[in-house]
Amino acid sequence: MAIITIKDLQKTYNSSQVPVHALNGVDLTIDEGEFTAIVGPSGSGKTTLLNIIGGLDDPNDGQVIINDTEINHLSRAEKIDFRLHHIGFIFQAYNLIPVLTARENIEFILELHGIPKSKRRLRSNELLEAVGIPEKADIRPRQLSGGQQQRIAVARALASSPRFILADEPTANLDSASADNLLTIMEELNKKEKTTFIFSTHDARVVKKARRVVTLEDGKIKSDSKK
Amino acid sequence: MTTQTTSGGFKSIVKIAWRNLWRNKKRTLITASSIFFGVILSALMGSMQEGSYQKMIENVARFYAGHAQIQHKDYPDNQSTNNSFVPSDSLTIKLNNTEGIDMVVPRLESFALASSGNQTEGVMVLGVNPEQEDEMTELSDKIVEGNYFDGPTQLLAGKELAENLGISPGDTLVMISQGLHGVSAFGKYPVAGLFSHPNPELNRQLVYLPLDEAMYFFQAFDHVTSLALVGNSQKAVNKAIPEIKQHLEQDQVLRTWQEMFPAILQQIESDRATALIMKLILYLVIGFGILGTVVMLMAERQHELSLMVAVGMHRSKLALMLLLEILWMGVMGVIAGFIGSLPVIAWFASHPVPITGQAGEWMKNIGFEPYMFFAWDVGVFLEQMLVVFVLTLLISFYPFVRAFKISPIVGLRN
Ligand SMILES: Nc1ncnc2c1ncn2[C@@H]1O[C@H](COP(=O)(O)OP(=O)(O)O)[C@@H](O)[C@H]1O
Ligand SMILES: [Mg+2]
Repeated sequence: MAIITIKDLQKTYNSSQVPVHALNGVDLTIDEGEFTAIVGPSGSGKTTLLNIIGGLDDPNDGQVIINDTEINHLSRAEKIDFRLHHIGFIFQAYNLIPVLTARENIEFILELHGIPKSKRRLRSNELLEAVGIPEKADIRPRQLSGGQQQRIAVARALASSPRFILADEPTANLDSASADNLLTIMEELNKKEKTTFIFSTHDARVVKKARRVVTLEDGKIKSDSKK
Repeated sequence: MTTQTTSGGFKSIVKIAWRNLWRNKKRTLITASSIFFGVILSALMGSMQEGSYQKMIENVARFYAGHAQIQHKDYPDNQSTNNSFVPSDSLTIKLNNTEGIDMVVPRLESFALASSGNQTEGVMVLGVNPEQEDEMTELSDKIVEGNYFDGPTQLLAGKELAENLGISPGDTLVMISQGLHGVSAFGKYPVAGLFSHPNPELNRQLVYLPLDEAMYFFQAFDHVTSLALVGNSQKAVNKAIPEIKQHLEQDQVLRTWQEMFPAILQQIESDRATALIMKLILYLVIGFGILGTVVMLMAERQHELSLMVAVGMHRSKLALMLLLEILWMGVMGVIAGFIGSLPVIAWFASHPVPITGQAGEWMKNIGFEPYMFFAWDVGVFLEQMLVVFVLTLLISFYPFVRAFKISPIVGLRN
């Protein structure tokens, strides 16, 4: 079943003298449970695409329909609530609130949801366990390695069991072992929690883990292959 | 799919704001201490101002004219014995029983020519009750030569007047004037003592006579030109004014020191305006200090603020979070400033700062004690605390407004 339907997405940046057509007519459907990589060289439009799917940025034209909601038609405030309730985000780096501990970062999302403390605690324990660093629960991000920070970011993104997770180059700042490890964790959670994952990357080893690979080039989909 | 709004996360907001406050301890402390010193400085300035005004008012009100006077209604326009009045016993009793009034001091005042040998000077003759006058103005403390009223027919003269006339205690002064209803007045009085008043004009012109003797001189028996009223503060007297007015007869008026000495009031007002400008400059300096911190803080946090909006936190909560942080900083500084200024101002209030050199001489010449006086006035503190706090509040508008413009697009800067 389609969870995300993208139709003829266009995005042009006009900030520089020459307009940049970052997305040039992207059509894409993501089904529930996918573990999909968006690949392509730097500047091909991966970040732009993920930002628009997540309602962080607006397209110039085209539609993003998540189930039956057209996200770009929501108001600013509605988009925030929509993201909180339906989308998990993982960014390239510095994903965590520096003054909160690992556990507090995970529970922060749950608190925004208004989930009571005992339930928050159960969920954060479960996720800390799942990402393999329960012993780091009370440590602040600054004292975690890059790989550990990204694992907490994965746990945070999953905390409220969103419909899907958008991860923009989650391994870009990691060494290959940590990158591999993070992907393994994501893969496991994709199966266990039945959460859809869409992640961008230009790392060939990460691409190998994906079950579907969508290749972007100059703002267009060049290929789309499923394993 | 539904999108319901959520109100959760306030605990997190408070927690994050509090921890952010201590994230850059040095900066928080520097900002809080700029607020701290701002409160101390402005409170000190304020209490110095109030102190000097109180002193000025005290000099004219407490030590010369009284906080208010009852006069004949025509006396302000024509200060002659013809515009004097006979205070009824009942009026004096009522005034003495009025709450807020400590003393009712009768005076008879007019002009005369005084001569000794072949020197003649125009003088102001002030007939006073020696005991009451001393209690009110501490006149006996101002005697620099001779004694304070040796006998009923003696006078006191200003130091400078005595020099101009070439007289000293023991000498005799001849005075002529016009008494009540135009009768001619003539008298010969031995000089009991010379006084030195901080007001140079009084030093040059004033002669004190015992009240009975002055009445005899001006042929104005039982008459006074004023009843000076002294309370323990201007405020207490002001409160009593409506009641006093009810006791007055038709041809009597009540005049406050402000009405009698409008120039002093004007001087205070213009000084207040100057001081306000100084304070505004001080507030501006503090304000820009805090603003600098806040701008820096917002720039540094750009990434994480975007992150919070991206993952589902409303900008209003972000705004609240930033507001809390700045307010805490402000409250810390203001409370510390309040506590810090207490001993500082207490010390200065009991240790007036002497003004030396030319400035001091100048002050003495225009009739002021050469000191900087500080008032112990809780109102001044509270006012300055409030002003600085409101200033912080105003500055917190900046992050508050900026919070609503935070983009959810998470950049890679950090
Ligand atoms: N905010 C922006 N303003 C102007 N141009 C931008 C902006 N963001 C991205 N671009 C341009 O859009 C194109 C696609 O960028 P991006 O989506 O970041 O690609 P990728 O994530 O694949 O590297 C690039 O040419 C980039 O320079
Ligand atoms: Mg990118």
